[in-house]
Amino acid sequence: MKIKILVAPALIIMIIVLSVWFVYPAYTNGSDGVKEKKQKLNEQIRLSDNLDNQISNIGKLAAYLKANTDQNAVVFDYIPKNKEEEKLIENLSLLAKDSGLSVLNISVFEMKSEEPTPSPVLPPVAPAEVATPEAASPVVPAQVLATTKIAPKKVRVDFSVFGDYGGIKVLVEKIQKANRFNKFSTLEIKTLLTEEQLVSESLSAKMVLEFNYLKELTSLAEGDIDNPIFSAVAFDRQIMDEIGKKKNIDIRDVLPGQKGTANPFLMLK
Amino acid sequence: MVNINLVTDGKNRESIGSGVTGLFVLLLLVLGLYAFLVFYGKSLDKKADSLKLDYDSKRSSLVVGDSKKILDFQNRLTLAKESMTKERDMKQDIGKVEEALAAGVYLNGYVYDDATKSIALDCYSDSYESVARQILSFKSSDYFLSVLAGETKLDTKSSRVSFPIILTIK
Repeated sequence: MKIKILVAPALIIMIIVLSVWFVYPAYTNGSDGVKEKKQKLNEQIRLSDNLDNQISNIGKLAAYLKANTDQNAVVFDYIPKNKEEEKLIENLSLLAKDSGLSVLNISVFEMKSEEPTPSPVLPPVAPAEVATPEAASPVVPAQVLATTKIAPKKVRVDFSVFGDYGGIKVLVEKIQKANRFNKFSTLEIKTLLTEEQLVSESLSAKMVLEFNYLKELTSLAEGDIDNPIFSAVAFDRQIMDEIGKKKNIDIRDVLPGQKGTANPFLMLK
Repeated sequence: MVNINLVTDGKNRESIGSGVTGLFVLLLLVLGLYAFLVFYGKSLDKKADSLKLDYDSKRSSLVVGDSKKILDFQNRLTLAKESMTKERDMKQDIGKVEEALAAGVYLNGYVYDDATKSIALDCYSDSYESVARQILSFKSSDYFLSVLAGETKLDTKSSRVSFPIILTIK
């Protein structure tokens, strides 16, 4: 009879102990309870869906690139894959001739690479938005994984001409309208005076020009997949249109011409 | 003498008995719930593991293939956007100097330096009044941020004044 009296309180205590020490922690304990596992699973499902979207976007973007090769060429002309210094020499010489100027010097130099431009940085995100589920601890920047940096190489061209003022102005304009990126580091225009002359219409122009090129991407870093472009369905065409409007002088290809000689110390005619 | 009856009646016994049964049932429910949570947690782990494997394999497959070409093109677009904003209109700079040149003044040299965004002019004039007018003319132009005149020199042979001016562009 006495044992029977103790059963009820003992059961109540067992229920409370089980609920507090086992059931509730199994439901939620801040790290690996069912509630947290469910949240992580939902997050993984979301990431997986995002990845499926990215795969679909990559298909669309790749199809766009294939279908618009000619239109996209403006971008590859503006920032080519290679140095193409032979093109720079030939085209600057042609532009000077077209402007009625005589060329004194065209020298091409490779410039030291600057610090690479970082890829677009994403804002810090909460653990729930971190790319890899197991990395969900404190607040972490999204770009914790290595990404490819945009590192253009630069080419410096020392270019000197002489002629009249009008021709120099035309040349400057033509260089700026050439469809390859260029920047005037310096432009020096001076009169060519003899000792007796006070005024001269003959001018010399020395300019230091900067061109750039970007080597083709050979491999992707793990973090590159998080680049915002893979979440987009199309490229931003605005810049292509802008280049097309402002840069309307084509950089011509160099023709190989005749080659091969029996005597390399004599000029081939 | 008052009688005290210590024997419980049948109804009370039954109610105690059903209360204990209820507690047993509740205990079983709690145990069942715990077992459910443990097994459900394990099944969630399995699902998460398989999703992660799938995610990782899909993600690594993205690193090869067309994504390389897409990112290469996008990098060029990003760089082109930056570069276009950096390009200065040199013709406009020259044009603004032409516009501001005062009568009686001409140039012997024009040097643009992109690092300092400045134009150094080597000028000649027929008089000091022209020098003053020239400085004023550049100062009154909105295109130039600052105008810095240097040392003037009078060439007695040619009766002309040479003077430098450094213009900083906005």
